[in-house]
Amino acid sequence: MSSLELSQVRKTFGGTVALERLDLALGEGELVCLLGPSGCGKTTALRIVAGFDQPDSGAVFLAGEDITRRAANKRDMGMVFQAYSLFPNLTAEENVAFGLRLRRQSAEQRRQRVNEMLELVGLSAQAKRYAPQLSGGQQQRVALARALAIAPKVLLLDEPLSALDAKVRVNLRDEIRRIQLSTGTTTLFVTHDQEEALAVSDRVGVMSNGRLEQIGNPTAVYQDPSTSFVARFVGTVNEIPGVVGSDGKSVEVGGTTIASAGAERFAPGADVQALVRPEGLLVAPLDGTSERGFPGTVVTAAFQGAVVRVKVRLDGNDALVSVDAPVDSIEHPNQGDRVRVQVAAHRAFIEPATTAEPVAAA
Amino acid sequence: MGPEGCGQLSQSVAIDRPAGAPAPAGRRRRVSFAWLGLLPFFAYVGVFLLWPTLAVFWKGAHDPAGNLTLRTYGQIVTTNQLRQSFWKSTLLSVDSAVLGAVIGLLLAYALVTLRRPKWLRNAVTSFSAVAANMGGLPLAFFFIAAIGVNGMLTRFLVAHKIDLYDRHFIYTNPLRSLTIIYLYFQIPLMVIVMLPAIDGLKTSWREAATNLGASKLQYWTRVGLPVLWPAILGGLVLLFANSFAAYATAYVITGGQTNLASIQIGYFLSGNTIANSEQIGYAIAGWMILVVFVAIMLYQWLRRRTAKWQQ
Amino acid sequence: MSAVRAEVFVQAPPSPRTRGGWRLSNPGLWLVVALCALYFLFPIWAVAKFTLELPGKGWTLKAYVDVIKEGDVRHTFWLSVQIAFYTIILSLALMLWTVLWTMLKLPRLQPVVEFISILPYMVPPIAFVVGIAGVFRPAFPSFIASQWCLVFFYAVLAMPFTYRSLDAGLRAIDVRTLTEASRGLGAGWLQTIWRVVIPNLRSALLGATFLTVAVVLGEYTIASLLLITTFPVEVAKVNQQEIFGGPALGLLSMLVVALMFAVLGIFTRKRGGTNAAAAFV
Repeated sequence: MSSLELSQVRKTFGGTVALERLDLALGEGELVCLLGPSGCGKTTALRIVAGFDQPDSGAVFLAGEDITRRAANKRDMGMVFQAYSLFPNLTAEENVAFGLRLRRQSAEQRRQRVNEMLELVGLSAQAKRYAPQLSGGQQQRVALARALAIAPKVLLLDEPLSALDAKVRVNLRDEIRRIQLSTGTTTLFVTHDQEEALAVSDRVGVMSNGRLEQIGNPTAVYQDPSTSFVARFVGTVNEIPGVVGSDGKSVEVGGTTIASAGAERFAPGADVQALVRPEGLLVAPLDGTSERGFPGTVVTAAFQGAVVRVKVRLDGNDALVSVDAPVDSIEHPNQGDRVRVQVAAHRAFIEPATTAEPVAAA
Repeated sequence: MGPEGCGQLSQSVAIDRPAGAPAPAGRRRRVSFAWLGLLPFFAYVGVFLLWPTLAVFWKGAHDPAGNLTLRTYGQIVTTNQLRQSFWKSTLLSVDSAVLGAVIGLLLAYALVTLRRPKWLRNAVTSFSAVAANMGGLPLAFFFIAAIGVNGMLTRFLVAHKIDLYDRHFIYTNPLRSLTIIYLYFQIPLMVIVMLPAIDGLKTSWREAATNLGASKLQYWTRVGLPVLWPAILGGLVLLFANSFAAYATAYVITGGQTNLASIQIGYFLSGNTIANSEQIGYAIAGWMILVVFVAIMLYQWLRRRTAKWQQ
Repeated sequence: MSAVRAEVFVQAPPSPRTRGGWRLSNPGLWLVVALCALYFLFPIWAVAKFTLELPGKGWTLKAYVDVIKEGDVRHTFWLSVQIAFYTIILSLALMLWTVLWTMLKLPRLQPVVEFISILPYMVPPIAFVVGIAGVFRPAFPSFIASQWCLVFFYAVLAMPFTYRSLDAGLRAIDVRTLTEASRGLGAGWLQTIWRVVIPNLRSALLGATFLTVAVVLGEYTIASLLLITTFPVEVAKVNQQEIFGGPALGLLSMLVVALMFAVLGIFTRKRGGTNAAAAFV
């Protein structure tokens, strides 16, 4: 367990810049997630840390030591790949023992450690099975056990859940987090699934086009996105038009005032767009009681357990807005109902107005 | 249209069938109707492959007097010249198989590893397809032109005081020269066998092994070669069978003068043979089919083992 | 030629490998490639030089022109082409029917049919012809004396790779679903096969065809021992009688085969390469 640092790491492939001077520091025992769409550079960063790729410039430090040029098989890190990384000619326990054998541990030591690891991931019963005889989720658990068996200084996870079924994915990610916390291993986790990232990480680093757009704890990244990309990539947003208030800080959207971050860079009275999350909107019946909000017609209303996701087509334009209404807040809306959509958020990410109509992400 | 065996089949539009297949007669029990569709195939294979092949074994299982016996097969083993011919065929086949397998494996590995130039792999694969399928004759001519008595290389080396036909050298031993020539289709065949197998070595295995601390050698000895060995063994066996069965090239190169099992069979069929009975001819052929049959079955089994590991 | 044929269609490009480095012993590997290139290309160059640079005449196509002018050569070449043609028709018709039928109606029998289809590999041509002569000469002498009997036996030789090619091609297009869709829309079986199945099998059919041609144009063993003078048999005869004719024809036939594979390669690459049947092996 030690700290890991990437310093000004830059990498190009052919003509494309994969990493644009990345700075990233992980504290001991921390689980940091690199989140982003494909091509954003997160996997490149991981591979550079692992030693499979060399950066064009910049350095990687492990517990303060510069390991940039160190061979990949001498970095004392454990890695879990996306899929199919178990050696097919070895059983599960032989796979887990692989790194231990290389380190010339005695048979007794190996056996003990292997049993410990398999128990940690809950697969002691499958010790003698081969990879094709294990399910996807089981294979990844063995891969995790194998990576942890050598007590690595850093654990690297390259989209380990992407190839798995949805249900397995959710269970396994909690498992991974539990195991990571119990071993206290510094971990770098790469994924494109933002729900996953928010669920397991101590901190999330959102990346796009080789740049780290924002890094912070899940709450911060979700509630206070610092760039438009982060706001849109993490969770869903609706684009609601508004006007910057006379104090230069708040923004007025459809009759509601949001005290928000970022409005300072706009002049008072400027037309802007607020990115409001579905849970930051309300649906109210369209009657005479209020003038606030935007009138529209319900298109669909999907019951999702704790909330009802209502899609409303606003009058005056054909924009579709998504609202997550708590189940108890309204009677279940029907298609065709006339409603008012009101902004209830206290924060929103503000960007320059592109169009006059509100636009919703799915 | 329903799944197999559905009775509605009999009402389907009449289809052109190859001659010899009976048309369906109204509604039949499911299974027998479906089997009829394969009748042309079974009949064809039966007449044109199984009948001649089984006849070989059958005829070889008799003695000149017409009695059913396995002595004729045994006679092959006891008759010097015939036993020699099988022995030489085996030697030739083992040599060309082992050499072909080693070189083919290296070449296949090189093709997968060397990613530049990009056209290299395609070029070699296409060439291999051609080389492995070339008739025996063109190959013979190529080598006669290259290292024949008046061949280009021969003359070149003579000019540099090296005589290929010196008795110390390779060419006086027809088996050695045939081995060298057989490599021309053995190596491509091995490449064709090994390329998919080496491709099947997932990069994640290599990277995982490295990540866990393995050196290149350790990866190959603990993961790479163990996973590859069925394919390698399979290739070896396939190459052996290939060489054992070969006739045309050997015939043309040596003018039919060398003692190989396949050449012996050729003698028998064209009438100039030491065998004083036709049964012996069949028995030789029978032995050869048996050897090749066993080899190919072994190859198929090994191939299935390879597939098991390469999801 | 050897009993075992290997068919290879130009494979789809290998899956993307890890970016960056395994600096494996590249120089060593390049040496291997270079030596192999030398071994394989030298005889071709030798034949080319041998047949194109005639003593006393310099570089000339005379050897080729002369040998092609020979009536027997042209006649037997045409014969071999015809035999190839009929063999292709027979083997494709038989195997397409069989593979389709098995896949759609009797999938449980698929391993059996597959096993039977590779039986020809287990019977070396030299032993095969012994059996052929042994049973057909007494039973159907006129059949075996006719050159057209070769069509039937060559179809047997073509069976393994034809089966595999069509099988792979049909699997790639999920023929079961396609035919069900087609029949569901009202097409009869014949229409379905003609309009739906065959057009999607183009590269598999082409591959099987080209391989059959290569085999027929190169098959010496069976033809010569059945005393039927096909093109390869004639080439051997020519080689006995003259110096340059044999090698010239040998090089020509290799070029023809290479050309066919090149065409096939281009064709399958255009269609994305995924239709290309896997190598038999």
